[in-house]
Amino acid sequence: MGSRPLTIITTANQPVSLLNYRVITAAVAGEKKFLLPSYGQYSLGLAIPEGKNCFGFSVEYGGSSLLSQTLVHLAYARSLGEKLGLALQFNYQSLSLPGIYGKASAIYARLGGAIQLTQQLKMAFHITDPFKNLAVKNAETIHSGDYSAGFGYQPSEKMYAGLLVKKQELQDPQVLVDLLYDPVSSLRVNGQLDLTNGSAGIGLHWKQKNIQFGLMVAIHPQLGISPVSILQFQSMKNKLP
Amino acid sequence: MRKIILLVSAMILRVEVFAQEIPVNLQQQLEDQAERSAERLEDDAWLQQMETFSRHKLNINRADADDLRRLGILNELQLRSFLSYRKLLGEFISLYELQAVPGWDAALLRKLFPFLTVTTVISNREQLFSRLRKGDHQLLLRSSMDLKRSKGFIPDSAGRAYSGSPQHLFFRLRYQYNDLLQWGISGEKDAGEPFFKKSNRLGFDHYSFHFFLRKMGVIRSLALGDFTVNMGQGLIQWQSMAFKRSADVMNCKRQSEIIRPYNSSGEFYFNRGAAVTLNRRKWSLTGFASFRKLDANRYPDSLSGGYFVNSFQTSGYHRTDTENENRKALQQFFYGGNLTYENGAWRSGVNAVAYLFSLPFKRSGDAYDRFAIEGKTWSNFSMDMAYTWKNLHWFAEMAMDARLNRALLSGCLISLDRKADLSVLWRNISAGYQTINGNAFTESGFPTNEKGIYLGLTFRPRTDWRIDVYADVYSFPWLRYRVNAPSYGRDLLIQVVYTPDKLTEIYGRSRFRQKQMNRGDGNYYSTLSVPQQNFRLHISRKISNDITIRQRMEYVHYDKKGSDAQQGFLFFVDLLYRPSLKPLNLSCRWQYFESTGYDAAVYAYENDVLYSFSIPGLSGKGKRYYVLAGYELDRKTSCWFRLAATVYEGVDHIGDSNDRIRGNKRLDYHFQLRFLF
Repeated sequence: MGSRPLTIITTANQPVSLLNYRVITAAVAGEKKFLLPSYGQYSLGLAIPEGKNCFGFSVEYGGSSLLSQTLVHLAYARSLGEKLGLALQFNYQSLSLPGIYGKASAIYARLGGAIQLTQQLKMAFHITDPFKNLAVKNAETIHSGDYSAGFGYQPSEKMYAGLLVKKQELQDPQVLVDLLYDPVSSLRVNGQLDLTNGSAGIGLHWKQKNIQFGLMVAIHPQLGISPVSILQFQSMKNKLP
Repeated sequence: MRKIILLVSAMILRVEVFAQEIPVNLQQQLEDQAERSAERLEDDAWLQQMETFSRHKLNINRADADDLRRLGILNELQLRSFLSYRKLLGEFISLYELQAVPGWDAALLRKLFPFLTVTTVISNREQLFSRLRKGDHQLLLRSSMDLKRSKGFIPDSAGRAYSGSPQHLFFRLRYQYNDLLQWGISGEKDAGEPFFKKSNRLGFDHYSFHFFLRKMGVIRSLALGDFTVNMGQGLIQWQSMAFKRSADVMNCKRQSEIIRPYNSSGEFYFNRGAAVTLNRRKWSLTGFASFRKLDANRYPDSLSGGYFVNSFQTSGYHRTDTENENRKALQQFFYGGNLTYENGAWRSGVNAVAYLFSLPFKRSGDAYDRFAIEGKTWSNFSMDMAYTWKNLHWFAEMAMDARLNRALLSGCLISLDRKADLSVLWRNISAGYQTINGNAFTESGFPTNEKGIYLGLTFRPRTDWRIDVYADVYSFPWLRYRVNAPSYGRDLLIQVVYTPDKLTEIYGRSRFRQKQMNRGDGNYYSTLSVPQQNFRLHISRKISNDITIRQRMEYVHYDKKGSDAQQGFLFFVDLLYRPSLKPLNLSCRWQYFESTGYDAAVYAYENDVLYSFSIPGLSGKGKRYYVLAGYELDRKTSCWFRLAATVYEGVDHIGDSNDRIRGNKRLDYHFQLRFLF
């Protein structure tokens, strides 16, 4: 389950979300997965909008010297009129397990589309690897495709609700619910729920000029708690997406 | 009042041109049908009918009940409502006035508009000579082929299993004058069947000819050559395309003319001979006779020294020596008739069909086959009736077979409110009841050995929301194939459709099916209930005048208990490009599928060349792509090309036996040319 609020970091897996950005945005995040001492995850992301286009870049590193994973995403999203947006993302994924497995890496693509169904209702879908792995080294052992489709409903500027169905190859489908609410202009509350396994997350985010700082806690019923902190910066004074 | 209606409706309705894209509800029905059996999907007569109506639109001031039934869109209540409205208020001024017909809403009109027109009434009693002269000819040429050769086409030490080339070829020449006269000839060769050689010295493997006339004096319809016969509710005879349970929950009543022309590529479900329906005031009389040689599984009879058959071969394939051995093994003489009385709201008829075969049928020794047809003759009789009273339409058929086993089916369509319609159907068909060509609204393929009740409800709380629900509970009093005990089952569906505007349609559906079957673990004398659940989310959005995007996600869970549970998943994205004033149209699809077994295979309707469609059942894991292009070279010549590829993961071959392909890719093309003259 994605346990973070809507930031440039999370758009790494939903590249079509880049279309929400109107100004250059950068973010860093850190997460202690299930409070395990050797499982920290760190991310850095950047979104550069330019007219109808937006470029995205992010790097994620997770794990320790015994087991680590690195992900690099390079994305391009384009708005095709008011009703349609498309995005293409190239991912580099590397997995390292010294002594037992060695190292494996893969480069693959991810395609996304967003369709504005009504003024308040939007749907988006994403497909990993629509054609095949572009360049592969032990790729199939470390990466499996996933397919997601969901709705976003925004009745007002202050509130957003999302429903996402996600299917990873050879896994059961996941149903994720997302809620965002801004009670005052400087504060945002978000909650997330995975209806499939019952895990949930809640977060608070403070906005001050072009900086936003957030703290979140995600709870998995079997694996425990994962705290997340996130810092986001926008190039000029503007509303955060 | 009429002027107000016209102004309002002109703003909210839009006419869409029929261009080989069939309505979504029909696509769903076809998908459901394909899950049951792909056999009867070869009949494209209804697609031809729709295309004919799109070019020669039905005049709503002239159309009678049979004409409207042929559209296959209206249920009996809507049809009766239309006829009463026209009778009461006279001729229509505009199509938009149809919105005022009780029970007709904007969604229904969107489906109907491409096929309707409105003009003042003129006589339809054109003379035969002018009908034969003033119509249009159409020549259709189609070729398709799997580009990867299967095992049957590769020679081994014993030679090649398939005796012909890998191309599938089809042609059809058809003459049509509106809906009043048509004749045509068609020919078809399946992949692997010889062409102008061996068993097919005359070229194609299958030829079909038909001549069909409507509304000529006392003759309501006349068929010479190939035709189909459809009676009552299908308890004794139904050969044309007919649907069973689907998300179109009100569509549980069979309705069709008794005789229909046939010129499709399917080689089994039709008759060859002559048929006529005569009409005088409130009475109509139909008679038909047909003689055909059919493919059948024939075996020597050690007792009599002759042969017997135990089943028909319906595939129409004649590629191998074995398939050719049973070709035309059985001669069938089929005859029968119908007498119908129709007086406005009341309609009743008596029906009879009889068969004479050249070889006797003999049942197997299996217990489930205990009531199968035996001997050289067979017959069925029935009585069907229907009555419309205010907002209620009742229909029924009572049937009997040659051994006097009985079958009864009865149902109701009720318009509860402007926002809600209800359908109910009950059937009680004895275990011994048998038919040769029955196809009723039952769970089983044939109407036999089944009791059950079906309830369907359509609820429209707002103009942009619709909820369709059905529940069907049934039982089989006797054993069935792979079910060694009396058994029961149920089928429940809920579908929610949201159409925020005329460019967007979103629906989500959940279906639950449960049936009993043998345990399969060596204990063949007890059964277990096997549930199957489907979840689907489908979105269609027209993003500009020319471009539509569609997307679907579907999940299937088939639970045979324990380690035999199977899951299926499908995800596709479609892009359709249909510019309104340009001769080109394009459709393409990208699809991912993942299914751990055949019982959780995933099905999705695919666009194909005109008069054709595909609904492949996909199991395993992989991706599927297709591109379809249609181009109108000039006003009289059009062509279509479709290229489809399926790439499986983790396999080194696809298919079995002679259809086995080496590697993990399947690639095929379809090409079609149409000339109008």
